[in-house]
Amino acid sequence: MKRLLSALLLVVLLVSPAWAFPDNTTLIDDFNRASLGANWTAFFGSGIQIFASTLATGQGATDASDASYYNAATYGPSGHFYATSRVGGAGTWQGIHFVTTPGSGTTDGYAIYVIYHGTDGILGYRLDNDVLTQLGSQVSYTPADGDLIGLDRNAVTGGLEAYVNTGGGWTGLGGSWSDSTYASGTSWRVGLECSYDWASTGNAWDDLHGGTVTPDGGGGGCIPKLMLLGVGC
Amino acid sequence: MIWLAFLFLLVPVESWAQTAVSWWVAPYVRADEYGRVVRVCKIEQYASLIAAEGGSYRAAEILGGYCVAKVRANAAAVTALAADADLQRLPKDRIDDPLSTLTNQQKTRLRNFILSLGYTAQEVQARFPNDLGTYTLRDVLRFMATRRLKPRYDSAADTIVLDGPIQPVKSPDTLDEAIK
Repeated sequence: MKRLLSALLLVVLLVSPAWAFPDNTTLIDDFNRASLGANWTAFFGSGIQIFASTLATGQGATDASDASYYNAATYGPSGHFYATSRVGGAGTWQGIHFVTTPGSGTTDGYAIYVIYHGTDGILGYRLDNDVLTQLGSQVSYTPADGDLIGLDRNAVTGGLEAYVNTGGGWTGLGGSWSDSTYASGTSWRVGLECSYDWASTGNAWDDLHGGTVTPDGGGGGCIPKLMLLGVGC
Repeated sequence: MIWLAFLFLLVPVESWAQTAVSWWVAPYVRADEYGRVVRVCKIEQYASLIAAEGGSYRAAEILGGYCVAKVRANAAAVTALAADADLQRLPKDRIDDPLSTLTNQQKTRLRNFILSLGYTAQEVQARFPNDLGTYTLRDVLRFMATRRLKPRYDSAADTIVLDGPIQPVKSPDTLDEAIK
C-alpha cells in the first residue's frame, strides 16, 4: 500500500505544473477612485485616466493610444500580470506592458495587445525605443467585456505568452512567441494602454494584479520528467 | 490486440502529406495601429494561407530589417509567397543541404543578398573564404543571423531606423527545430 501511495504521489508530482498562471495574484490597482493619482506615470500619448471612479481608460475619442506605467513598484525580470478587459464594442485595442526605461521614444520590453476591430485577436510585441516589433503570429480571440487578460513573461526561456480567462479558468495563447533581447534586471514596470476612452468607444482596464515570478529551472510550467519517465514536459 | 490498431484512428494527424518545408527571407513592413509604430515580418501577411492544411512558420529578425523564416505550407501558399516580389526563397529547403548544386548565378545572388543586409565584404569573405558551394544552408543562415541593430523611430521622416546597439538574434537552428 505504501508503495502504491508513493507511486501515485510521484505521478501527481510529475504531471502537476511547477508554476501555473498566474503565479502572482497581488492586487496592484482596482482604480476605484476619482483620479489616477501619483502612482502612475504616462509613457505614451497622454497616459491613462480614471473613468467613473472604477476603470482605467484612454484619454479621448481619437484613435490614438495612451499608456501609463505603475511607478510605485518594480518587477522582473520575469512576471505575471493580468487585468479585467472592459470593451464596449469593436474598434479598439488595449495592451498590458512589461517594460524597462518607459518613456516617449525610450521604452524597451514586451507587451501583449488585444485588438478588436475586424480581425480580432491577441498579439505579442517586443518594444525597442517605443517601436513595436510583432513576435510570431496573431492569435485568434474575440474580446468580450469582463474577460481577464494576462501577460506571462519568462525571462529564462524568453517566452512571452498571453492568457485569457473567460470565466472558466485560464487558457494560454501565443505559445510560440519568444524573445530574449531584454531578459535581466529587476527594474521592470507594468503598464496599461488603451486606444480611445470608455465614454466614446468603450475601452478600459480594471483590477490590475500580478508581480514578479521565478520560473522553475528555465523550463517554466512543469517539472522536467525526462529523467524519471522518459517523457518531456 | 487487434483493437489497439483502431486506437490510431482516434489520433488526429496533421495533413503534412500536402505540405513541404522551405526557407525564406522577407523584409519587415509597417503595420501601425492606433498611433503606435509597428513593424512585422512580411511572412506574417500570409499566416492564414500558411496555416491551411496544418502549415506553420517561425521567423527570426536578422540584420538589415529582414527576417528569415522556415515555413511548412501547401503548394498554394508557397506559390503565393513566391509571387511576392519582396520575399525571397532560399535555394535549399533542408538546413543541412549543401550548396554545392547551386549555379554560379545563384551563389552570386546569395552572396550579394548577404552583403545587402549590411555585412561588410571583409566579414563575408572571412566567414566564407571559399566558394559558397562548399558550405551548407545552415552555415549561411547562421551568418545572416550574426547580429541585428536596435530600431528607433524618426518621427520627422516617419521612418524606422535600424542604427542602434547590436542586439541578439534568435538562432536559425531554433527555427529549424520548431518547424519539422
